Amino acid sequence: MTQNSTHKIVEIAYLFADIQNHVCALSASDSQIVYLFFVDRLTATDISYICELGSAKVYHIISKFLAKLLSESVRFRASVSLPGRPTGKLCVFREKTYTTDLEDQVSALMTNGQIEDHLMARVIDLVGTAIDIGTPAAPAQLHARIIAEIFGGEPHRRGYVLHNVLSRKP
Amino acid sequence: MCQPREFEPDILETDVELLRRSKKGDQCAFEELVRRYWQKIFGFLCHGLESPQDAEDLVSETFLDAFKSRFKISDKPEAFKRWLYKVAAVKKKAYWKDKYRKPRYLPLDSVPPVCQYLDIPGTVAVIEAVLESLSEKQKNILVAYYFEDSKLKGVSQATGTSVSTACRLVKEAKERLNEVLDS
Repeated sequence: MTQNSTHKIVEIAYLFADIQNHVCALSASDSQIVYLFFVDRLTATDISYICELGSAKVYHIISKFLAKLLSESVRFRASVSLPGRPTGKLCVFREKTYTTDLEDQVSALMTNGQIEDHLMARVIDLVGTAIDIGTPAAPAQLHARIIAEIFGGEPHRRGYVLHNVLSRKP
Repeated sequence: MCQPREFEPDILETDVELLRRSKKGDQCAFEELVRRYWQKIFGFLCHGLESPQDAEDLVSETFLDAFKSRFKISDKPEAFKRWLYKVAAVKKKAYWKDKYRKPRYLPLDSVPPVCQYLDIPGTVAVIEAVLESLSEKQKNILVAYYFEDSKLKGVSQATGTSVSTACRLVKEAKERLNEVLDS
C-alpha cells in the first residue's frame, strides 16, 4: 500500500468519524429519521408515514442535519466538492450564506428536488455508509432466533444453508 | 420450520411475491423476507435504544407481529417494508413510554424510617419555631393537614371554607413554610 493510499484511507476514516459524531449529537427521534433517509434510502413520504410526522418536518430535520454537517465539517465539504471549486449548489450556498440561511436553502432545494442528482447521490452514499459502519452489527444467531420464535422449534437446516450462502461476500 | 416444497426462495423474487406466497402458507417465503430485513430493522432500532440487546428483542417482536398480521399487509410494492418499519417505530416508542412509566422504587432497606428525621436533635424545635412564625390560620391548616392526617375535606370543615379554598389555603401555607425555611 502506497503512502498516498494510506493517507486517503485515514482521511476517509476521519470523515466517517465526523459524520458519526454529528449523528450521535442528534436526538433519538431525529437520528431515526436520518437513518431511514440515508441508510435505507426511504423517501420523505415513507418516513413521514413511519414516524408519524409531516413531510415538511422530515425535510426540515434532514436539511438541518445536512446544513450543520456542511457548516462544521471541512472534510465533508471537501468530499462533496471538487478541489478548490464547489460543484454543487449545497456548497455554493455554504460559501455565500450563514448557517440559518443555509438550512432554509438546503430545505428548499430538497423539497423542490433541485439538488443535482449526482451531488445528492454522493451525499447520501457518504452519510449512509458512515452511519451504517457506525451501527452495531446484529448478532449472527439473531436471524435463526427470529425464525425459531416465529415457526417454533429449531430452524430448518436449509434456512441456515441459504442464509450462509447469501451472506457470503463475493 | 421450512418444509420441502416445490418453489425455492429466490433472491430475485420481489417482496410482494414472497408476501403472497407466505399468505398461502409458504414458510420459506416468510423466512426469505426475514432474511432480507432483519439487519435493517436491527440497525433502525439501534438508533434511539439504550442497548443492542433491547433492539434484538424488539426485532423478534416486530417480525412475530409481521407474521401474525401478514394477511392484513397490502400487496402493493414497498408496502411490506413500510409496514415493518412502522411497527418497529411504534415498538420503539412504546419501549420508551414503558421505561418512563415504570415506577422507580427504592429498595426498602435503603430508605431511612421517617421517625429517624424526627430524632435528629433540634429538628422538632425547628419545625415548631417555623410553624409559630406563620399566621394562626395557616398554622392550624398545616397542623390539621400534615399532623392530624385530615383530608382536604376535614380542613375545609375546620376552617369553614369550601374544599377548593382549603386546597388553596394549604398551598399558600406550604409556600409560606418554604419561604421561612429558605430564609
